[in-house]
Amino acid sequence: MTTSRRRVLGALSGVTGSTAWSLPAAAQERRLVANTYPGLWEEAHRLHLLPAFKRVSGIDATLTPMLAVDVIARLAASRGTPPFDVILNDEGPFLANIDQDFFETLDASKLPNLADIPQKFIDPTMKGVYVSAQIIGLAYNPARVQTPPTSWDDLARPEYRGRVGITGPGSSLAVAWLVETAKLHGGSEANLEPAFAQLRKIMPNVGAVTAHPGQLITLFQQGEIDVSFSYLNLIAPLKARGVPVELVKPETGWVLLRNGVQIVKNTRSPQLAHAYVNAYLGREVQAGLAAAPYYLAPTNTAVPFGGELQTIGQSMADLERSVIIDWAKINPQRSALIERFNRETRA
Amino acid sequence: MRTARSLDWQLAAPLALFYVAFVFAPIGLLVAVSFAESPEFDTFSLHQYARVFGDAYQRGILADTLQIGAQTTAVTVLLAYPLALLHLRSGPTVRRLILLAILLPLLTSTVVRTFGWVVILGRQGLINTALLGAGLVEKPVQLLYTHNALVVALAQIELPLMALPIINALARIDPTLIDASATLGARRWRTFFKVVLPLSLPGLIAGMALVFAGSISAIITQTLVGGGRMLFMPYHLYQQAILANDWPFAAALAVILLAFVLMVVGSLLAFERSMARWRHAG
Repeated sequence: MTTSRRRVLGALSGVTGSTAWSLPAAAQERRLVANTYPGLWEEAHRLHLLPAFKRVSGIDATLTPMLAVDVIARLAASRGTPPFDVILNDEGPFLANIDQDFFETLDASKLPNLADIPQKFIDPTMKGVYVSAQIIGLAYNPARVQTPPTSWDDLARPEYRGRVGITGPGSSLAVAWLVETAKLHGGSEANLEPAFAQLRKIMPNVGAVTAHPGQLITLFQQGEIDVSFSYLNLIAPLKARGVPVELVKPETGWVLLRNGVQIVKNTRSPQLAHAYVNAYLGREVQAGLAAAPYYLAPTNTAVPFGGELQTIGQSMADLERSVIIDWAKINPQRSALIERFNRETRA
Repeated sequence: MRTARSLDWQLAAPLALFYVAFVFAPIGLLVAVSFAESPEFDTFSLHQYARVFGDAYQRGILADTLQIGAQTTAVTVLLAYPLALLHLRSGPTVRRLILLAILLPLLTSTVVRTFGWVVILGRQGLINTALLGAGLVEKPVQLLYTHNALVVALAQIELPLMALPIINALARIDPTLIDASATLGARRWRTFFKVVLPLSLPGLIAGMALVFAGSISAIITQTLVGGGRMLFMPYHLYQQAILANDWPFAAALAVILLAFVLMVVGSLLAFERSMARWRHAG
């Protein structure tokens, strides 16, 4: 019997491997990769979240700007070796994929800041926690619109002909508008038919259909559209730059779109991932993200609303009566909804 | 001889392996996924293809995509060929300037060039401001998010891919052939159609193939200049794969688009080969 080089190397790797496993788990974790949304989200995370995380972990997290749907596609393509440890995700894509075994169950004992988070912002299955809420309302240009919109139905007003911008069904924003419009006419998340009837009515007014909500902002700046539905965190920075634009509360109330974080299944840095999530839930980071120019409503109850957010309420408690979309009912029809929207709006 | 051939194989092997691993295998996987009946991948059939070809709406998206490719190709031919002829007949300084003008846009990203068109075509853009200023219109004209605007924007963006192969083909034509045609009594146009155009055909066909493939897959320009009311195959694919998570349907769309592009490009190349045979036979 000869001793091969492979056997020797195998034995050596076994020795080094067992030595490594005897070290504390967190000491082996040297890397954390997370996604952020492009634009102001990324800026806010680099300015507030990454330094807070580094203070508790000593690690520089790698941040990749990428939309939630693109992240999910990558997780699906690489289950064994996920490219992310923690992901930022809207509640729609999160709940649509909650049964796909993409997300690790959170360990509450490693998330002390969870104590400041209301129950409605913690996923009951502990697969994720909501870190912020985007506030959806009606946006308009006060310099060119005499009568501001007050209802989701107002997009059909004749005086807005050619001046309305809407975004496509791939965005949570458009789905929120469809649901709220359906509810005004006796529909619901399970019955969006009344919303499509209303969509047909507003199409003569629609000057632009964009692929992403961010493009609506560009169109407001260029004077291409004067009325739309939008997020506060898109409108407020624009207003701060001197663009004539306002966001108003619809008669039926603000709509909240919750943004959550999840720890990815098979992450090699579970300790760091929990530290990152905990830092995100902390008062300091939440206050930073709620301040100008980001205006992301904090889910941490100890963080008061400031600046532009104060036009909405004093804290998350004032948003108790805001609308939350039932994504569990929406998600199964997402594919059909996209196709229907395309058919209805196609030129 | 045998040694030389085996060396050829050894030299070609790395690239061949690369292609097998990173081009043919993924395409094979794409084709396999396209036969799945549902995203659960439990049964396989031609269901996804039936969904595309059995629905006028889906066929319309495919037709619109091929149409935008054909129209963009036609416009770039009309713009690039005279430019290439001008390059051929100019002195070295003007040639350098023309070449710089063609190459300069390639140094800017497609996203930036597309946004340039958004600014030019907008309600408060360059064209509308000029029209309003001249008193030719009372209110801004809708230019952005129109079919014609998209063709013009795509043609400008794809123009270098057409102009460069034509310039290259024209440069390789022996000038004495043009002189001979004139000596034999052919006027300019006859010389152009009988000598210059046939001999520049390889460059023209190469440019057409590049521009057609480039314009039908230009998702950024299609989305930003065309807008959400015009749906073409690339964004349709993105919606089905990433937003709706319907991978089999998206795979079928991708296979169909790929097949049509290969058919068009293959037809162009076959036409060029037949013309080459005709030239040599004549």
